[in-house]
Amino acid sequence: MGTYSLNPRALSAHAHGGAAPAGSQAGIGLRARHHREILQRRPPLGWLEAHSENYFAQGGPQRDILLQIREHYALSLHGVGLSIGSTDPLDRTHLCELARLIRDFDPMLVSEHLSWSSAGGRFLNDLLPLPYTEEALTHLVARVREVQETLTRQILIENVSSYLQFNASTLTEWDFIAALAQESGCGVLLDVNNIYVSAMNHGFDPHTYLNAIPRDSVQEIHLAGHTLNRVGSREIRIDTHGSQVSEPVWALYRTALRRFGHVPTLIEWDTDIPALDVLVAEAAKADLIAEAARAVAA
Amino acid sequence: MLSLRELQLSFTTAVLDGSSTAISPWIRADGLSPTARVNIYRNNFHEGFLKALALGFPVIQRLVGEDYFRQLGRLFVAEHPSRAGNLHHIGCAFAGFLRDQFAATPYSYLLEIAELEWAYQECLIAADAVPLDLTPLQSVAPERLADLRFEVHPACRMVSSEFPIVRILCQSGGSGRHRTHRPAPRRGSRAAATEK
Repeated sequence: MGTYSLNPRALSAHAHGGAAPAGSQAGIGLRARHHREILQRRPPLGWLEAHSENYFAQGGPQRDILLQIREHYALSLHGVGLSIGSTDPLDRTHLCELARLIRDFDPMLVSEHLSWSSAGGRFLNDLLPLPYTEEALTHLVARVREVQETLTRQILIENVSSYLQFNASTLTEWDFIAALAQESGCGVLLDVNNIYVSAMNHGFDPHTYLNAIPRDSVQEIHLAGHTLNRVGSREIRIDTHGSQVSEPVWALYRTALRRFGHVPTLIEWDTDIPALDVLVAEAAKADLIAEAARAVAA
Repeated sequence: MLSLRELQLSFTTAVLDGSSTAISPWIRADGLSPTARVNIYRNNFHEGFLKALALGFPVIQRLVGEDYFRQLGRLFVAEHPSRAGNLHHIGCAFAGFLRDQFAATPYSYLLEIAELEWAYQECLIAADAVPLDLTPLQSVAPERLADLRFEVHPACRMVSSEFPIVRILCQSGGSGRHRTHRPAPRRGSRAAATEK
C-alpha cells in the first residue's frame, strides 16, 4: 500500500467550482435516461457514478453527453465487466478501454467487483460469487495488482450479493476482502445493501462483517434496494438495485458511518429506474443521516 | 478439492448449458438445493442478456412480440454466448442467427431488420469525425478531381436489403433512438444508408 495515493476525501470538485469537496454529499448512479435532465437541471448531488462499460466507445452521443456532464460534476467509474476474479487471462482490450476512459474523464474513483463473470472464454455478464479460499485470495491479489499496475492507480473492490456459498470456502467473505485490500493495496467499496442481502441469505451478522473491514480501506459506500423472494421453502433476498433503500440497510449505514467516518456515499438504482427526483431524494436522505452521524461524533 | 478454474468452468456450464451436475456437490445446500441456488444465477443471467439484446434490437422485439423475442434470445445465447465483459458486442451475430432461423420463410425480412439495427448500434459507438465541408472542393482544379479520395464517416454503415426495411422500421414506430437519412427505399432498391 502507499504506491497509489488517490484519496477522494482530499479531492476537491475541480470540475464545477462548487464549495463542497467531491463526495462530501451523496451521489447517484448515472443512468442514460437521466442524462439530459441532469444537464438541464443540475440537481445538487455530490457526484455521479457511471458504469464504465456503458461508455466504451470511440465516440458518439453517449460519450459526448458524459463529457458535458463531467464539466459540472465529479465522476467515478464503476466497472461491471472486467471479470477480475476469473481464471481466464485478463481481457487486455477491456482494460485498455478502461484506461482510455480514465484518461478522458479523470474520475475521482475507479471500482470493480469481488466476483468473476467468465470461464473458458464464455461470459455470463453477471457478478458471480467466488469460493473464499487461499487459492482464490492469491489469484485475486495478483489480478488486482495487475489491474492497478496497468491503470497506474488504485482501484476499489466492491462486495457483491450472493445466493449461494461454496463448501470449499475456508475464509469468511469479510476476512477475504480485508486480506485482499491489505495485500493488493486496493481500496474497498462497501455495498451496505449487499452485506445485508448476503447476511440474510447466509445467516451471518452484518455487524461482524463491518467490524472486520479495516477502517482506512473503505473509500466509498453503495446503498441500494433489494427484493424478498420465496424460492421453494426459503426466503431469498435478491439484489435487484431496483427499489428504495430498505430500513435495515439505512440502519446498517448508520453503523458503517460510525466505524468508517464520512465516506463518499452513492445511491445505486439499476432496474425499474425511477424519476430523477426519487434518486435525488434518496441521496438527500443519505446526506441527512451522514450529517447526524457527524454531529454525534463531534 | 475442485480448483478455482474447475469450479468456474463447472459453474459456467451450469448457467449456460443448464447442467448443474458437476457444480452441485460443491455448493452448500443450507435449506435450498444447489440446483435451485444455481437457477437464481441462471435466471439473472438470462434476464440480463435478454434485456441487453432487447435494448439493441427494439424493432425486432416489437415485430415478433416480447414472448417470442425471449424464446429467440434464449436460443441465440445458447449458440452465441457473450465473448466479452462488455455487452455491446452480443448483437453482432444476431442477424446471422436469424438468417439460420428464417431464411426462405416469409419472415426473412427480420434478418435484414436485425442487420439495420446492428448497424445503428455500431454507429452509436463509432469514432467522431467532422463531416466533410464541400466548399474547398470549388477550388480544386478540374484536372485534379480524379485524384480526390473520400473517406466514409466512421459512424456510417451501408445495409443492403431485399425488403423495404426502413419503411417497416418507420411503420413499427421507429427505433426511437435514431434518424434515418434516406427516403424509404423501394423493394429491390439496394440502399438504406444510416448514420447517427
